[in-house]
Amino acid sequence: MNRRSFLGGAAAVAAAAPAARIAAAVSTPRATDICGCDPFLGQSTSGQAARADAFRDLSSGLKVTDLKVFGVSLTPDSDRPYVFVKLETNQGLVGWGEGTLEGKAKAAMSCIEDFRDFVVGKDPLQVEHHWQSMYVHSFYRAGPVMGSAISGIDQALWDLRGKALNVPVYQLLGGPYDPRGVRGYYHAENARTDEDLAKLKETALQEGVSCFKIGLPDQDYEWIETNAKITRAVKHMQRMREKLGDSIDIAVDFHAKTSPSVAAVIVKEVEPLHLLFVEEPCPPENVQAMGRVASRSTTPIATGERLVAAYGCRELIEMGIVDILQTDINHVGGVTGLWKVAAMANISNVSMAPHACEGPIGGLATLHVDSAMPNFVIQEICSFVKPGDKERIWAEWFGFPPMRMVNGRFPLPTKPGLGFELTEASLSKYPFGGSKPMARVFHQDGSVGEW
Amino acid sequence: MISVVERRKALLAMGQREPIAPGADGPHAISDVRAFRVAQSPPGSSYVVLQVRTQSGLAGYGECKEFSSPDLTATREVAMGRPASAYETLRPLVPQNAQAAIDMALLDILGKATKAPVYRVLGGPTRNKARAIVRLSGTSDDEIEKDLQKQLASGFAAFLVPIPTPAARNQGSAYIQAGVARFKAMRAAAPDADFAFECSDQLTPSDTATLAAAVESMHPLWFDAPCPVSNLSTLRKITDETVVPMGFGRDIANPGTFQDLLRGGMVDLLRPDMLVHGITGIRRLAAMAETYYVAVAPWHAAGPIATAAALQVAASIPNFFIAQLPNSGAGSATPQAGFFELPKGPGLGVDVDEKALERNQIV
Repeated sequence: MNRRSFLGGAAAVAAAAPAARIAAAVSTPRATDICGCDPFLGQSTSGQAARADAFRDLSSGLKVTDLKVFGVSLTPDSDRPYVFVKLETNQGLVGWGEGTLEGKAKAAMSCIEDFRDFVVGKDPLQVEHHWQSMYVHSFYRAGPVMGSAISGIDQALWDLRGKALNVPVYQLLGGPYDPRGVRGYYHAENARTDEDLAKLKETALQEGVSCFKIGLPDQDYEWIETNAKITRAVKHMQRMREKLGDSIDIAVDFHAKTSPSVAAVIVKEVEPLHLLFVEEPCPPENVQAMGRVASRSTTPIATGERLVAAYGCRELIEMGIVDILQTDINHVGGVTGLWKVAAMANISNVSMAPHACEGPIGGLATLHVDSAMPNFVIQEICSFVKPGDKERIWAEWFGFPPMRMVNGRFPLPTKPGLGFELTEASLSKYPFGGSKPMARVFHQDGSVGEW
Repeated sequence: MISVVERRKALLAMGQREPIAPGADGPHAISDVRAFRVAQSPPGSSYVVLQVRTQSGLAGYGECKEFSSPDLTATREVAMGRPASAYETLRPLVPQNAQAAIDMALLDILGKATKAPVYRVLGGPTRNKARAIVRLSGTSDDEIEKDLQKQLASGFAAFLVPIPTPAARNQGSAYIQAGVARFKAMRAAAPDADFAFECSDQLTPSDTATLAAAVESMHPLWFDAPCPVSNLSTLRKITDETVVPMGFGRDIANPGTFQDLLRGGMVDLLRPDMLVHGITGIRRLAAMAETYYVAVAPWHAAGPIATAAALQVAASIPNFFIAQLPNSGAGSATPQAGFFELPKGPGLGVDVDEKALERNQIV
C-alpha cells in the first residue's frame, strides 16, 4: 500500500494549482507525479481551505477564536522564561498550556505562532487530530522547538476539552490509579553539610517525602576521568545513602555531563547503593552508547527528558536500554505525547518518571497523565523541600500551591480541565525578558563541556 | 515481569487503602454490574453483554467472550462504588476476560455523562467516516462472487475473500493456482473494489509467502491471519519473501507479542480483538504501532456493541485503517461508498434493548 496514494484528497488538492498552471491541458492532476512544490512561484496552499470543514457535521459547536502566547520571566535574566499558551473560544471557555523550552523561549513562542492556523477556527475537542496535523504537516519531524510548541497547544486543548465536558483531565484519561495523588520527589542539591542532610532526612520523614534527586559533585567531566573525580562522585552518592538511610529513595542525575565511558565506571561502582535510578548517564543522541552504560550495571537507567513524541523513545525501549522513561510534558507533545509514551512503555514493562523543570501549568498537566499510567513510578518537580520565591509566585497565580506534595504526593487538581484558573493580569508582573542561554560549562582547558 | 495475578492483587491492595474522596469523582459511582449471554451461530460463538449501572442512573455496555458467575462476583466486588470514569484503573482489577467489556462499558458511561461520543472523550474525531470491509461468504468461487455482488450493492468497496480451503500442509502448484484464480475472479467481477485474503490461520508461513508472492502484482490489501502467531522466527520469512502486507492479531492476547511483531518488521496491519483488548487496550497498541508507521484494524466476532466500540476506536486514533463487520453482520450499518458513518450519539452510540437481553442473564 502506497502511503502517498493514501493521502488522497489533501495531496491532490494541494498539487492542483501548480499543475494547472504548468500544464493547463491536463484535466485530472496526478498527485503522485508532483511533489506539491511549484518550482517557479513557491508552494501553493490554495485549495486546502476546502478541507477545513471536513468535520462540520461532527463539530462540538466549540470553536477556537484566538491563540495567545506569553513569555513569562520570573526574573529578568531567567534562562527559562515560561512559555504559556492561551486558547480562547466562541463560548467564553479558555484553555491554558505550557510550551516552555529552556534557553530557546523565543523560538518556541514563534513556533507556537506558526501553528495559529492549525487551531484557530477549529473545534478544540479534536486534540488528537490537531496534534497529528501539527506534527505530520510540519514535514520536518519532531525536534525540541516543535515538540514544545505542540506541547503547549496540546495542553491548552486538553484543558478546554476537560472544561467543555466538565470533568478533570485525569477522568478523561480513566484515572486516577491512586486517589491520594501522585508520588513525587524534590531535589536535594542545596543540602551540603552533614547537618543539612540530617535535617533533610528528618523533614522528609515528617512530611512523607520518599525520594530525593541529587546531581554529580563536579561541574564538568572530561571524556576520560581521573581517579580523584570518579572517587568524589562515588563518595558523594555513598554519603547520600549513608545520611538518608535505606527508606528514602535516591535518584542521581548525571545530566549527561559524563561520557558513556566515564559513566559506566561510576554507575557500576554505585550498584550496591541500589539507587532508584541514574539519569542521563550520557547524551541522548546515540542510543547504543547509552546502551553500553546500561548493559554493564544493574543500576536502573532513566532518560528521556529531551525526547519528543513516542517516536523519540521507540529505540530505547526496543533495544532494552531504558528502565524508566522521563519524557517531559512540555517537550514530548503535551498530554497526548506523554500518554502515548507511557502506553508504549507499558507494553514493554518500562516505567515512567516524568521530568518537569519548567512552569506550573506543565506541572499540573503532568499529574493528570501520571495518575492514569499503570507504569508510573514517580514525578519530578524542580523544587526543594522548603518552598522558595518561585513557589510563592506560583501560588499567587493559582490561588493554591501547585506542585507541593502532601504526604509525599502531589494532590490531583479536581476542577474541570487541568484544574486551575489563571489571569493574564497576574502574569503581567513578570514580563518577558527574552531568550537567555542555559548554563554554559567549559573544561579546565577552555573547551566545551556538557552542563 | 510481575504476573497478572500478582499485579492485580497489588493494584487491588493499593486501591483499597483509602476510599475515594466523596464528590471528587462525580456522581457516577458504579451501582450494579449485570451480564447477559447472547447466543449466536455457529454454536460456540456466543458472547456476553456486560451492563454497568451508576447511581446517577446511567447504563453502559460492553461485550466479552466468556463470563461466569464467579467472574460476575469478582467484577462486582471491585467495581461497586468506584467512579465509572475510572476506565483505566478499574480495568486491571476485574477478571481478565471481562477487562475489554468493562473498558467499553465505562467509556460508554463517561460519554453519556459528558454527553459526548466516546471518540470525543478520547480527543477525536480523527476522521469523519470509517473505511469499511466485509467478509464474503461461500466456499466456491461462484458462491463468493454471488455474495460479492450483493455486498457491492449494499455499499461496500472492500472485501475479505476467504482463501480456498487448503487440503493439506505445504501446498503444491494446484493450490497456489486456485488462490490466484480466486483473486483474479474477484478483481474481474469488481475491478474498482479492493480485496484482502482471509486465511484464518490455515496456512504455513511458507505457503503464505508463496501464495502472497503469486498474487503480489494484483495488489491485495493484505493477507489476514495467514497462520497462527507462535514462533516469530518462522513468521519472519513471510515478510522477507513477499511485500504483500500481512495482518496479524486475532488470536494475540499479550500486547508484547504485537510489539515483537512490529520490531521484527513482520506485520503491516494490527488486527487486535475488541473483546480481548477493549478500546483502551487497542489505543495503547495504536500508540505503539504509530512509531512503526503501522495501522490498526480492530477485529471481533461478537455483536453490535463491539462494532460500535470499534468505530469509536477508528475515530479516536490516527492510524486506523479499516472497520470490519463481524461475520454475523451484527451491528450492521450500511456503508456509503465504502465508508461507515461515525456514531453521533453520546457514549458508544448504541441503543441496547435491555428486555431482550434479560432472558439470558448470568446470575
